[in-house]
Amino acid sequence: MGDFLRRIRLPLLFAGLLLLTLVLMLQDRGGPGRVGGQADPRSDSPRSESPGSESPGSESLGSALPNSIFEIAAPLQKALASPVEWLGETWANYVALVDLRVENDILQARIAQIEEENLQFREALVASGHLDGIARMREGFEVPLLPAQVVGQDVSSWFQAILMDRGRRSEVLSGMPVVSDHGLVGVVTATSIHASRAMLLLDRRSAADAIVQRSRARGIVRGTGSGELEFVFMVRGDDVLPGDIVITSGFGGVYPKGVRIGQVTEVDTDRAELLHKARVTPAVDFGHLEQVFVMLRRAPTMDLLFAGDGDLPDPKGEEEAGSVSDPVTPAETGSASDPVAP
Amino acid sequence: MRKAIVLLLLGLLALVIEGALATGMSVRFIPQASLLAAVAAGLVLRPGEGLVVAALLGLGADALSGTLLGQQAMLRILEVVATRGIAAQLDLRNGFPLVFFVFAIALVDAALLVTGSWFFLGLSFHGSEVGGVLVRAVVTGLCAPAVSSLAQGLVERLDESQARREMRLETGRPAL
Repeated sequence: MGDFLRRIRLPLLFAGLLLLTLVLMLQDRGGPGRVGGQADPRSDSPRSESPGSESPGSESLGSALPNSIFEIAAPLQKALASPVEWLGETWANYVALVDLRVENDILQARIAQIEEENLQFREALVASGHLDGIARMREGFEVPLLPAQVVGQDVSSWFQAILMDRGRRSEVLSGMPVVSDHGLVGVVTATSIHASRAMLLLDRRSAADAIVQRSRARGIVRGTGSGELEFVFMVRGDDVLPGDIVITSGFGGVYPKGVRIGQVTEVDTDRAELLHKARVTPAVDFGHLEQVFVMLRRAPTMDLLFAGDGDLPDPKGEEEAGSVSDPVTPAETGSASDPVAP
Repeated sequence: MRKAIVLLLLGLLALVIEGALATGMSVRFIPQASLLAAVAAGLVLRPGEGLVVAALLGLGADALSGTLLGQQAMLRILEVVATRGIAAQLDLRNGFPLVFFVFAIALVDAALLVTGSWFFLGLSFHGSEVGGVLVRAVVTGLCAPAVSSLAQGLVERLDESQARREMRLETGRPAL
């Protein structure tokens, strides 16, 4: 019997480990708060990224292990990322500055033009008496932004995520939007005490409800896994042109309204289908992300999504969110759960 | 056991370095640390230790990336088994066979990762990404001999120090 067991020890270990990984995968895929494999095309939610757990007491093996790993990895990566960053900056600041003078002249001219336009818009707003109202609305929507340093990038070729040096101790929770000074970056999907992981907008599982700033045409911006985004579910006949700026619509309740996503570079109008697609170049340079900001307010839909991990919404925070901006109106909820195009 | 722990820690450190490097350069030019460490574990460790080290390395890679927890761990386990199977037929300790083997296994790894993501998450991938995968497989393959030599040297050194301890040579007494 002992001899037999010794002989089958290795196959048993192999089978046991395979089974364990399979169980972890199934748990990670089907755990509480998962959205499922396919995106709800009208909601701007992470599609199936593991949210991780938020309270240490509720951590399961499936989330405690990775959380501990990136809790240890984050400070190490932060230390290692500094020389990499320095090298990158040296290259960008001293070596790759060909044609800077010409570019500078062009940009200065452009700034002058934009300032002039801005002035005219302000004048128009003051004249129409809307400026005060807009200022009040902005105050209502303003949320505290927590600066975080990007200490690591996803090491797999297929997925797009970043590791940040802020975690639950800094009140970062899964489901909080992440932005940079250029625009939308993604959403926090897992947190440990001092670190967190965010899924980038570029990831295939990302989707954000968006509108074209100029024409207000509405659609969904999806990650393609490459450096570009896809603007889909655009109703045929909507006015979208190359060069248009795409911003978040605020529907779906994950991302706040008005955050810049990118610029339309190409509109696919040859298709015979009812819906169109457009390519969008992200406003954020995801290849050189160094500092990002976590918006320290989670939408009620995200509270529901991540509540299964024991991270129930703070009643006070919920009340505040409801009274301040209440981003999910009944109409929006209806649209967010509607899997069919408008 | 000591060898397995040292290799595991070095593999995890390599993963951390890989993640830090990815902040400054394209992922396609960075070798797959956990795959290289898993192949090295398959070559230099005992089978059981190799499997456990590979599984833990894979879990580490899963934690630091957006894959499902267990997805890369499963692949690393399969890679250790493949490494041992091929190493029984070919000398994979150095040189071209190892480069080619790691290149091939990196491609298989990518294909299985895509298949797994499609099966579990319903994600589809574009053919345009094949180029990046090929480049990364080449880079990973080219790094394999160095990693293998490093692991081999490390294991030999640990074996040597273990053997020296076991011999318990009395060096303090005069020879005559």
